[in-house]
Amino acid sequence: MRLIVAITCVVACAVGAAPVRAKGQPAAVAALERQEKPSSAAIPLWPEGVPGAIKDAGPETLDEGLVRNVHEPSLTPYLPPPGRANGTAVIICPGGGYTVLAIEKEGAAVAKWLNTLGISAFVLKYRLKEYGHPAPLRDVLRAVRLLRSEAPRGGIQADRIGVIGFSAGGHLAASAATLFDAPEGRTGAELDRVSARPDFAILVYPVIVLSGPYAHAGSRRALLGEAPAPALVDALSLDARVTKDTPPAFLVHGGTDTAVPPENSTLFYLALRRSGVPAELHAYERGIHGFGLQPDHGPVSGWPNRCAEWMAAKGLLEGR
Amino acid sequence: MRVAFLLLCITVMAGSGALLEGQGGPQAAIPLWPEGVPGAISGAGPEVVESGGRISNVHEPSLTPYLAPAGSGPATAVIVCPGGGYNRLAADHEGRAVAEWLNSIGVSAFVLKYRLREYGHPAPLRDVLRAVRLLRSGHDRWGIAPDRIGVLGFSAGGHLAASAGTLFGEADGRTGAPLDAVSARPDFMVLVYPVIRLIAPHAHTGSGRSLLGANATAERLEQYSLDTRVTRDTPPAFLVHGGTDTAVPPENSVVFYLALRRAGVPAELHLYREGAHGIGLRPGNGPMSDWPKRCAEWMMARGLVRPGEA
Repeated sequence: MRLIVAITCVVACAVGAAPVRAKGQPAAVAALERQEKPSSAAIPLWPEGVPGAIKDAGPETLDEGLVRNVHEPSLTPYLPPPGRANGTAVIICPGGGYTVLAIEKEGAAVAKWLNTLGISAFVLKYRLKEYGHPAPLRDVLRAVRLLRSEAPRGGIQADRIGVIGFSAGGHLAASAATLFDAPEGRTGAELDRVSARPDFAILVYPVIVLSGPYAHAGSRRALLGEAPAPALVDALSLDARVTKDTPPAFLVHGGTDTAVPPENSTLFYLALRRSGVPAELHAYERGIHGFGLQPDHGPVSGWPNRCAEWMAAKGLLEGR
Repeated sequence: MRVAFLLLCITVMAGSGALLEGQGGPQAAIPLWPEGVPGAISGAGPEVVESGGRISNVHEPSLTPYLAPAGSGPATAVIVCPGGGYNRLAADHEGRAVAEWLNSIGVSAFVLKYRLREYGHPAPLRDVLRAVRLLRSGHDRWGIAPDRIGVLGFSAGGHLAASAGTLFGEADGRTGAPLDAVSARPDFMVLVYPVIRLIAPHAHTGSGRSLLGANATAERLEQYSLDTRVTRDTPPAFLVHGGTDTAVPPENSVVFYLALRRAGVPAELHLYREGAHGIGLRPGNGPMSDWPKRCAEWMMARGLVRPGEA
């Protein structure tokens, strides 16, 4: 904690162009909230320069809610109305098979829901197949480090920073939860000294395994290429990477998910149990891949309530 | 089904002088074996009711009906199997209370009193399968639908309910009675912190001992570890388990769920972070206390509960 406070000044200067703003401009923020827009401009993750940046990569695109060709990873803040923030923050990892980002239905919509719970939400724009591993991992870990370092200024509790991810974004969120100390997640930046371990993980129809009958081949290809070394595939099949230091997790999956079968969530749950990590899993009979926050999928559409109950029981929705 | 209708008359005449049409509250218990309990132990001493309504030393297995208020058309029926490690029956908080909840969502409930360690296998299995057969054959009598007869069990009662869902065709479950001709396959299962495994990993060894004896072979314990018995004919299941259950770890539910998935059987699994063994319907156990709502939603989505009653 001492370290974090010390680093805060450095970080604040480094990302001063667009720091996390929870206080200081309430009127403007409130106005934006009512319009269901981000609370401020996207915060670049790598103000010192994106590590491994591809030159002349062409522009990022946004088409029908899907972002493609990400080269400037960022966090877009969505903050609760003034006075409603409870100090918990969640980094949102939209899905899209490491090929695109479903930035609206698994991003902005999720942020707005989290805001209703008093949670400060940050939609992560992470790099995709144009880079492959370890770029997405670096991005999500940098996001945790950045928020944690900024926490005292942003009205966020440094020990209440979670990740939520959908599908391949669930793989990335689970990567943060298991690989937060991985050397490839560091870049030599000052912020490497801040813990990248999320305090909790919410995994929604997550991709967990990259080999075997339950693997999501598309995510593997986008992340690791056409013919990855088996050892690398195993290293990113995340049930195998759970330890007692993995944070508590909430998982939800639908039984009619043919893209990413629910065994992905089950295997992760069992791994958490073996390591003694508290976990909750709701595997609904019905629920196709990508239900997001849509209300018309039967009982599985109640998952945000189950998730809120889990967070409330963990004390994540109480102010301090 | 034709057989069922014929048998109905026999059954009603033979065993149910005490049966009364009506609604609300328990009716008189229906003896499962009016022709005589198969394998009955003579001079066995009386049934014992312990503190908290727990029953032990069961020798006269029965079903206690709690009929739902009359609705439009036949009701869904659920046979409730209380837990108690095959040593006793938690007949109140995992029996009566559950029946009353089921009635509140328009479902008729039948609390099963099944035989325990004094008999061991196959007596409990015979009792639960007989209960399914009896209800299915006599469905008109109770205003229930013969194709919507489920089993709901807690802990060792969950093992028994899952046994009904996997072993309904077993020769062990038949006694030579005419009712053997009626299908004993439940149409759905609700398993609450169920015992599934009787041998490592994740075993509840006490249930294994009471059911199969202290000297059961590993092979036999594996045979009645019910994840190994799932087929594509196993009925759909709803499972719920708490993460702080140290008596019967939630892996029991997980391995059963995974077996159902492998067999292509629809299943739903709710594993709560917290939830000790034996909470039944008691409130105050955090999110897990809402499992009856999750179950009602599942039943409604399957057409087992009418909208508005969940």
